[in-house]
Amino acid sequence: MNDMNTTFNSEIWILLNTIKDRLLTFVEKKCLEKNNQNQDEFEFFEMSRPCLINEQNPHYEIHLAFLKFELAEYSADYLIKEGFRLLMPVISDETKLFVPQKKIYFIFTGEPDEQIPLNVHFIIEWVIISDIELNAIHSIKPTHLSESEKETSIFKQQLYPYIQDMKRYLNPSTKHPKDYPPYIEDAHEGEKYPRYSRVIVGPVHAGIIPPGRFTFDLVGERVHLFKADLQYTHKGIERLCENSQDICKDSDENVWSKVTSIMGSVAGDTSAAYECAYCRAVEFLSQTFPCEQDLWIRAILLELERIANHINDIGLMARGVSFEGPATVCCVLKENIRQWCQELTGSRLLKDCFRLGGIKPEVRNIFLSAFSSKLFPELSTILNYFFQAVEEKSLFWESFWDHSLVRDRTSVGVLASKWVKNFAAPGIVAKSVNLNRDFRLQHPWGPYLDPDTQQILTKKYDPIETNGDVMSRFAVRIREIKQSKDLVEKWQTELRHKKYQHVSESNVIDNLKTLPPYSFHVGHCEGWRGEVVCWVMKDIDNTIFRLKIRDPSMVNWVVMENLMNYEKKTKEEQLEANHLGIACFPLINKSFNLSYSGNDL
Amino acid sequence: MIPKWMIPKWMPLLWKKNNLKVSLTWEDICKDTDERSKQTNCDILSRLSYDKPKRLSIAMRHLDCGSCGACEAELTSAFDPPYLADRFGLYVVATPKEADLLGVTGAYSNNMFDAAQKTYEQMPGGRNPSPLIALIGNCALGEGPFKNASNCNKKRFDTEIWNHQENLITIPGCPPPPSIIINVIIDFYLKLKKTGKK
Repeated sequence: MNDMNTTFNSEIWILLNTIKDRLLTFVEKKCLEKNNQNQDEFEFFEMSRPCLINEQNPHYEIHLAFLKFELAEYSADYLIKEGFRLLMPVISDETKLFVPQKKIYFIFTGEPDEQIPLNVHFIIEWVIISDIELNAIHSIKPTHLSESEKETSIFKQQLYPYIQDMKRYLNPSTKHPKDYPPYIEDAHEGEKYPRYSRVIVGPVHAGIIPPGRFTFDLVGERVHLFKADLQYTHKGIERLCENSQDICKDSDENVWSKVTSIMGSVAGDTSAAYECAYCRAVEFLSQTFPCEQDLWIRAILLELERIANHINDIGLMARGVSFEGPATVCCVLKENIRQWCQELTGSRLLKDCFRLGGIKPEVRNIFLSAFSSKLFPELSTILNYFFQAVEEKSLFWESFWDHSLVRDRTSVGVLASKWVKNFAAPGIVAKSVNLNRDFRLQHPWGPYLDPDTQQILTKKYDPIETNGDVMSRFAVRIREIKQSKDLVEKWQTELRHKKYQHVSESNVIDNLKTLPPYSFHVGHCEGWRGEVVCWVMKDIDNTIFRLKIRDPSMVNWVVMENLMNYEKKTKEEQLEANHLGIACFPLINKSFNLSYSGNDL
Repeated sequence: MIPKWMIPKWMPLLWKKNNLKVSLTWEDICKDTDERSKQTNCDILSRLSYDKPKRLSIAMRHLDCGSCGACEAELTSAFDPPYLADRFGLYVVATPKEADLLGVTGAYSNNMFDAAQKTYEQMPGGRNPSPLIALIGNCALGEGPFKNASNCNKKRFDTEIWNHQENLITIPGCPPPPSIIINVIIDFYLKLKKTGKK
């Protein structure tokens, strides 16, 4: 690129290239070992280019393409060893193009490290020449770590949560779900009675819960095998976005802006994060970024969403251990914040606030006028009440936080940190075992780039519990509310002094037209469950060719399945999880609080 | 009036300290009914006062046909404080066999068809020509963002499962706020009571 921006950081670029060189030498060595010094087998294409970097939206990526799954696997293994993790795979059927191929893009992201700089992506592209090769992907089976930790590579374990989604993309007509008959397994040889009794719950549950079928195989009271059978809320969101030009035929609405409103409904409680992730992906594509004021408002909305949902979860978890007092307080506080959000943006769940190139003008106007009224102090009084209840152990909380019954009931569901590492679990699940996987730290943009903000995010707030049980996930949520409150209070004073030169939506869309077809970009932001990622690829007629969404729940459902399985644990873990019965499941489920719609798409 | 002992000790503290929008004393609600009618959130509280109980008992069963989760979030908060739909006689039951009303949310995903059919068949019939259904949210009404999604089929549900259009309660909104959900359902039943149809 000749017209390189002045803000382009060459240090980071050099550092990234050294990692890339080491990777290639590693892969070549491995390849030669396996193929008896046959040089022809090692083949790769360098696709990365130093991209233009916006000051508020830094982004660096290295892009390598391989023709063989082996090579892609070697390089992925190397990256994982270096401290990277799989963010998501994107399978893309490009058979209709001039070079007919199927491709899988494996996107890797770095952990916070001294060696790995911020805002870095590695994209490993695997070009599938024949469909037989896809067996390498299809043959990946649910592996349980204790059994075959050495046999299967960690990369394949990280890939496992996405396999079902990939298969569905390749064969959209496959019927789902399969019918599991409620059977009792036959008696093994030499045994008189069958081993397991099987309990199947769902898909329609006794309560107000989205559909999903859970299968428990019991021995006595203990859960030996657990399977979460989802996909009931599969609507075909990705396909809807890719075909959205058909919907927009009658109306004047543009495809790109139409998809923004669809993205708000991928997971109803994470709508702000999804809209933000999509908008950022398209803005990266068109290299047109919103002004500082809009970026700040976006970040405030994301934090508000986090606060509301975390308070709701804390209430649910308190109810899960049958302490109704705290649950009631949290419900009232959550309702206050939701109403407050409605006054601020016109939507209780912060839907339809974002647009390409910033914030919707009507939302922005209400938002900015809120400064003159007493809206912002109101939020801090609501939250102060909450913190007072937590910290000073006043009112109800004294009887809750330190209650021996609560401690006893919430000490179940211990998550080993190696599972989190091996499955690349994001978000709250990772934070509960003291792994700071937070895209606000690793991929900061706009207001998150500020060193003071970073300090707030790395500051150690009470309470700190990191042993991975239900209580520690509970503690993570309280910590995050404190962080978010500090951030919102900090930004609301800054917002007045921010520059505003609003970028219009048509400006972003016009800049897309000049792009070469089939160029793509990844966009993401930290939602309240973890990072929300969106991948957008442009078609030849300025529409969307491929859109891929990844919710943190996609991985964490698999992590939870493994957590509930007794049989596949090591002996030491089995001792700890001896009391893991069906009765523990609702509380563990609430402590994860995963999205169904975000997983099923 | 709520007896004083029913109000938790911390509640007045909360209102006083923060001057919150949702105040749960009934005097307060009656005072500024006009103001509150603009924000639909507390409509229900002003319409149905505790002094004149309407003696309703509506057992609802929830059925999610592939929603995004927003309708569930709002439906849950309709049964939580401060709304507490149970006070007006609307409550959730754990099985369709005990239900008077089926609350449907979602965009009618094909994968949910069998489960929805089984649920509907287990609803008690006989007293009426058919069980009551409340369609909650824009998706359930056949609009909303997933109107043209590939794996959604509203027609199939309409024709093969609930093949009647008379007893439908429709609650639009994306998602409808808890107050509207309670309001519409209670209003419908109050009307039924007046006309004496049921």
